[in-house]
Amino acid sequence: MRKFMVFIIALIISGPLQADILVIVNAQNPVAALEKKQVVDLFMGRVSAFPGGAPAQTLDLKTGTPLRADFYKRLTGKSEAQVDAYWATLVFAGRMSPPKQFTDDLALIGEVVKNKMAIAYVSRQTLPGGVKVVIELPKSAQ
Amino acid sequence: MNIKSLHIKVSLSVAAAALLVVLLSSQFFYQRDYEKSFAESERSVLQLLETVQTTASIAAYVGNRELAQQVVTGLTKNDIVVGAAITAGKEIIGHDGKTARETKQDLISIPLVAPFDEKEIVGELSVVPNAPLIALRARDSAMSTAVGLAAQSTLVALLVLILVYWLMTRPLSTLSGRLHRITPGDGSRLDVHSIHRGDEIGLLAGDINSLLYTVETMLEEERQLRHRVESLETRFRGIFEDSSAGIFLVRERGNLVTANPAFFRLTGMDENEQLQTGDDDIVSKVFLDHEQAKSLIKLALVTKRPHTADLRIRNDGDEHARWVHCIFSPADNEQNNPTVEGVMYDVTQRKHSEARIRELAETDSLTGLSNRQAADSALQALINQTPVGGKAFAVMLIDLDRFKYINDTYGHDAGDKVLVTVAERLRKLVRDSDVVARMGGDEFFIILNHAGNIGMVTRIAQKILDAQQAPIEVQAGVLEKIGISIGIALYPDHGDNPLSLRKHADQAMYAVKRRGKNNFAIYEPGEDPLMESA
Repeated sequence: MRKFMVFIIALIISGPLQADILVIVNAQNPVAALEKKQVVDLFMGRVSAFPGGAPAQTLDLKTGTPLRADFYKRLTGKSEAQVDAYWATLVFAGRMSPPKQFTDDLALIGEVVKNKMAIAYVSRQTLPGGVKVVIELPKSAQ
Repeated sequence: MNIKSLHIKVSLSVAAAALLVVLLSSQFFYQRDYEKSFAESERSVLQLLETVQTTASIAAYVGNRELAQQVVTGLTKNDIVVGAAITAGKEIIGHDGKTARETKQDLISIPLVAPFDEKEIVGELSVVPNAPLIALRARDSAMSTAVGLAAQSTLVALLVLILVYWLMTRPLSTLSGRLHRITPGDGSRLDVHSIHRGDEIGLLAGDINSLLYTVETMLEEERQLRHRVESLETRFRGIFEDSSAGIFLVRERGNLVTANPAFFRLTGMDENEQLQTGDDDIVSKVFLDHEQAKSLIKLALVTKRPHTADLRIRNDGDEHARWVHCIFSPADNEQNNPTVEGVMYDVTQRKHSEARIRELAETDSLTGLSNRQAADSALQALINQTPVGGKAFAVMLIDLDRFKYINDTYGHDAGDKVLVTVAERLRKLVRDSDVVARMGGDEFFIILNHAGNIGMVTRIAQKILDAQQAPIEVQAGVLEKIGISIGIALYPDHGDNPLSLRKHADQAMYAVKRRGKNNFAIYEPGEDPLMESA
């Protein structure tokens, strides 16, 4: 019985990991949809503006969060450590900084609702009206 | 040291070969090593680029000039790179050191791909390699390889040289030096060190020794043979030189090959002069009967047997010819130039005595005319020489009239004087070739060789009769006229043999006697012996 309970909990925890990841922006952002490449360029610091010219601000989860590793794996094909090393290289060179980190989904969603420049990722869930999805990253879309 | 010595030759050959090998192999290995070294340097540059590729890609991806600058600065710290640049798109976002345009050489470039999308090329990383340094290093490396190789080759050549010298050249030159000091026949032999027993040098020495032995044996045999030949030659030369017989060797045409002193003594010729002029026909010079001598020489050559004859020698200044007995034998001849050996000895004395004896036997001692035997044989010889139907001749038989009276009246001396005088007159009246003989008593006989017809004979007979008209002083103050009776017979009309000729001449003479003497008559065939003529 106890073993069964652990399995259920494990399923519940791992549930979001297996689900689609949604990339969201403020609902007032004129951008309706983004290509995967555009998302990569934004999150990896290559561009700092949405298509159309509006400045963009990437929001990230805290290092060590399972969704974060999943997101980068799905987006770039690189591991979390590789992505961190990438940022470390850029930070060391100067004038560059990685996306601002938040502790959980709720904090992220709240920031996106408040910030018109924000772009962030969350697991599939019921989203509030202040945000909109610009791209879905399905698991299979490696 | 001799420049032609084997050792020098071998040394020079090995040195030349080694030098050639060193030159060729150094050239080859230098080239190969240079290229290899150069390629390695280029690979090093590429590896260097790969090392910084990720960082450079990131820099190009995000267009980060600081990061790009860090990368190119890091690259130019390597001494094989003199310049580096990172371009993102068309823009150079990092650059350090020299540019390709400054150094005028090719860049080594790699493309930079996006860190998160390998399909997208975001820029290019290029470096200017330090070509002079790379070349210098390649050269150094190649040079050290070549030098090492040359040193190795030289060492090997040196070793080969030393070994060849110790194992071959030195023993060979020792052997050659010893052989040089040996005179064949002095009994010396070559000896070589025992390590050469069985190898080529040992075999060579052994063969030379057996050759020396053979040569010595042959020399000794030759020496003995020469000694024997010399003693034989001395003996034969003695015989040849000391012989009293003249010995000479002539060719077919009469030229002298050689002759001994006795030959020159006999012929009275100058030895030196004759031997110098060997082309002369000495046979013609020496022999009075040279044609006979030459035919004897030919005969000896043709029949290959000796032929002999008594021949006269020319002898200027001496009235009497010298006679030699000559034996011509064919010498041991070569085919094309045959020679004949002649031996001659003096037979002059014997010839003279023979002639004297013959003279005595054929002469009438009182008158010096031929005697009966001589007349008989002369007549026989003439008939033998004259065939019937050939030339004719005449014989005369002469008898003195009144000889008995002179002899009885004035003595034998007077008779002898008459005979001598008549003989002289007869001899004068006929040719020298005619035979005048005294047959005995007061009877004379004449053979007229050439009187072939009656007219000629008649003229001669008349001349003889006329000559007798002159008186002969038989004693001091006493002159007597002596008549003669002549009987004539002709050959071959009156006889074809001596007997019948004489008999018919005798008949004719008696006919004259019967008719009154002091006349001549020619025999007439069929005539009665007592019938007279004229």
